[in-house]
Parts: sequence; structure tokens; C-alpha cells
Amino acid sequence: MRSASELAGFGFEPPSVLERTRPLVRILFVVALVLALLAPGSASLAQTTAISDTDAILLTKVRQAGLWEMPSGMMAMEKGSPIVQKVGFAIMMDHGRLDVATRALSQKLNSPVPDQPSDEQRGWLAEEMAASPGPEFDRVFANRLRAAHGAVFNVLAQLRAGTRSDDVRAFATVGNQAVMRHMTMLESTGMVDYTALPAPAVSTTSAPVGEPLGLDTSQIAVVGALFLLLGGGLFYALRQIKSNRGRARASRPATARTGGSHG
Amino acid sequence: MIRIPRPVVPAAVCLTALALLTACTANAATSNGGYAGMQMPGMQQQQGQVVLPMPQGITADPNNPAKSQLRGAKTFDLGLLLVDGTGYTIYRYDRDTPNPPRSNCTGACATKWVPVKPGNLAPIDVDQSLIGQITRPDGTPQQTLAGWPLYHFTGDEEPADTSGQGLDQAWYPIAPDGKKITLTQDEWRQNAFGV
Repeated sequence: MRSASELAGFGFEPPSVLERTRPLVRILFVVALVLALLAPGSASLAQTTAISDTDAILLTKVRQAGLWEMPSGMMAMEKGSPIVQKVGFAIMMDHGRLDVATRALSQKLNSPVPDQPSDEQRGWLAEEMAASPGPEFDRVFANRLRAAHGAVFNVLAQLRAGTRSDDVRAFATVGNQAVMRHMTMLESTGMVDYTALPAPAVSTTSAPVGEPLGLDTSQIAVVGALFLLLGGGLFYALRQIKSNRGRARASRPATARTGGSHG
Repeated sequence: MIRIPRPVVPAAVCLTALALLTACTANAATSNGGYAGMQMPGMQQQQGQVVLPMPQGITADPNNPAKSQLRGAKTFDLGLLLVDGTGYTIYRYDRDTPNPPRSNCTGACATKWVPVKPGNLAPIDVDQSLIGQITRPDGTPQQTLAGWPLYHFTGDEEPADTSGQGLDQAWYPIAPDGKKITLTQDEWRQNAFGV
């Protein structure tokens, strides 16, 4: 009975052959290494440009907004001044509605969402808890929520403008309206310090390098590193072939090279 | 001077490139808003930071006095909605009658749709004169609004969740004036941005 490898047409080479072809093995190893590194590299490039990833980020952002703003709203109902109590209640209600839509879409698109607020959001909740009832709480509440809504508003706007998914587009439309309302309500408390908000990041100059391809600088750096890696691998391979030839001639002893090994 | 063996040079080049590559890909993975690599369920809780509990549904929190408090709330999409003091949606049933007020949801129906008990907390943004109560067939009291017996839906999981809307083509969220709310979020969106 013939072995599987014989059937497949290639048997295991004896060690002596392996010994002879050692430089070749080394070259193959380098090529395999480069390919192995290329594979995840190209996969990560594909991921960051695929629309589904940005869709997933939107779901995550809206989900986590609800996870800290609903408890914030509850707290506002207890610790806020009358206007902040009302705003907190309305925000809690709207985020309940948004969260239902978020979880439904998360399930439909098979894109899981977190079930905990981020560390940063937990820090804001702790700040709200530490604030004394009345004006101090009002200020923390209005400013933390207003800043967070501004960030989510940006993500919603980008996805509303550019998503390829009909479901996500509809979801972003709804979310945009809710977040717009919340920013306006928070501002109606008169507690928002606009100078503390990040300035609008709208480009007034020419597009940066890589913009037409939708590449950011880290992606360009990855491509650069890949070129370097390929170049290094090729260099190494050529060296191996060269030194192999040199050894095959065996006319020159390896110790003939001179160079100060001392000092 | 230390003599560097020849193969070390390209190897060093490769390793440097490798290190650069991993650093860059790691950076690319986390630069997308910082949440791309987030763990899903069971994230670690940081010490010293507290996560407050969310308002719970009627099944988990049946004896909370705020569950009997009626409140009018304006949602961003459905407009005015009647909720309880914790923000959970209140429903009415088309097969009930408002005049005279009578509930036709009993037995298994009343375990899925929990009648709202009368409470002591004053209503907010609801006309007090519209609020009444009936005695159910089993002898327990139930709050009414404009004659309609009021219910919680056990399937609702969040404040202002309207998951019970349209079930059996008879259950609808109720507005603070007693009218049923048939508008959905999708319809609202289409109307709000349509011609």
C-alpha cells in the first residue's frame, strides 16, 4: 500500500538533501514569512476601508451613548434644577427609543454592540455622581452631555452621508434628529460653555495625501513598512544565494576575511 | 569595533520592518474612534467607577411607586406619549371600552399586559381630570385615562420602548389626551423628510 505522500506525488526528502538545499529552505522561509505578514496586513487594510466597519462603529457609538446618557438622565431627574430634570427625562426617553432601534439593527446586521459604557463615559458618570445637586450638577451634566453629543453627531453625519447600507442610512437619519434635539435641549439649560467644545474640524486647505483613496496616514505607513519588508526579504534571499555559490566554490577559507574583531 | 556577521544586516532590516508593521497595524486598528477593538459582553468594570442601573420594566420592578405615576413626555419621533414615572410606555387596548370604562383583558392577557395600579405620586404633564380608575373583574383596581384602562407591556425593555405597538392590531401606546398612537418611527422619518 502506498503512502499518502507518494500518492500525492512528492515524498519526504532525506536529510542529506535538506542539508544541501539549506539556503533554499532559508529563502523559502523568508518568502513564507513575508507572505504570512502580508496576509493580515492586507486584511486589515480591507477592513478599515469596508463600509460595514464604519456602520458597526455607528451602532457602537449610539449604543454606548445610551448606556451612559440614560443613567445620566435618571440622575438629572434627582439632582438637577427643574429645567435640567426635564431635559434629563427627555434624553433618557429618546435614548431608550434609539437603543431599541440600535439593538434591532445590530441583530439584523449581525454586528454585536457593547453592553457597557466606555471607561471615559464611566468617568463622566462618576463626575456626575460626585457633583452636588443643583448648579454644580447642572454644569457637569450639560457640558459632558453636550460635548459627547457633538462627537456622536459627527459620526452620525458621516454615516448618514456616506454609508452604503439602506438600513444604516435610515438609522442615521433618525439618530441625527434625536441627537440634534438633545444638543438643543442641553443648550437651552444655559449651562453650556461653547468655548470648551472642540473647534470644528472642517478642512479649509487642499486634501491631504491619500485622500482620493480614502487612506489615512497609518495605512500609508503600513504600505511603506510592507515595501521595506519585501525589500529586506529580497535582499536577504539574494545574499543567501550568493553566499551559497561562494561556499560551493570552497576555494576561499571563511577565516580569510580580515577585520578588527578586537577593540 | 564589533564585526557584524553579514546575515544579521538583512535580518535586522526585516525585523525593523516587522516591528514597524505591527506598530502601524495596531495603530490602524484602534484609530477608528477607539472602539473598534472593544470587547463585547463581559467587559471589565473599573474599580471606583460606578455604572448606574437603568430603569427596569414592569416585570423586574412591579412594586416601584413610579410605575403608577402617569407622565406626559415628548419624544423626538412620536410626539407626546404617556409613560410612567420611570419612562416606560403606557398602552391602551382597542377591545376595552372607555364609556363605561371596562377592561376586556383578563387571565393570560393580563399577565402579558399588566394593568397599571393607582398610585400616590402626582401626575406630570397630564390633565388630572382625565385620570380615573376602575375595578377589574378580579376585584383589583386599575388606572384609566379618558376612560381607557391603562397597561404596561411586559415585552418593553427600555424607557419609551414601544415594542407592544400594533400587537393583535389592538394594542397601542396612548397619548396624554387618551388617543392611541399608531405612528411608527419609520413612518415618522418618511413623513418628516418626504415631499
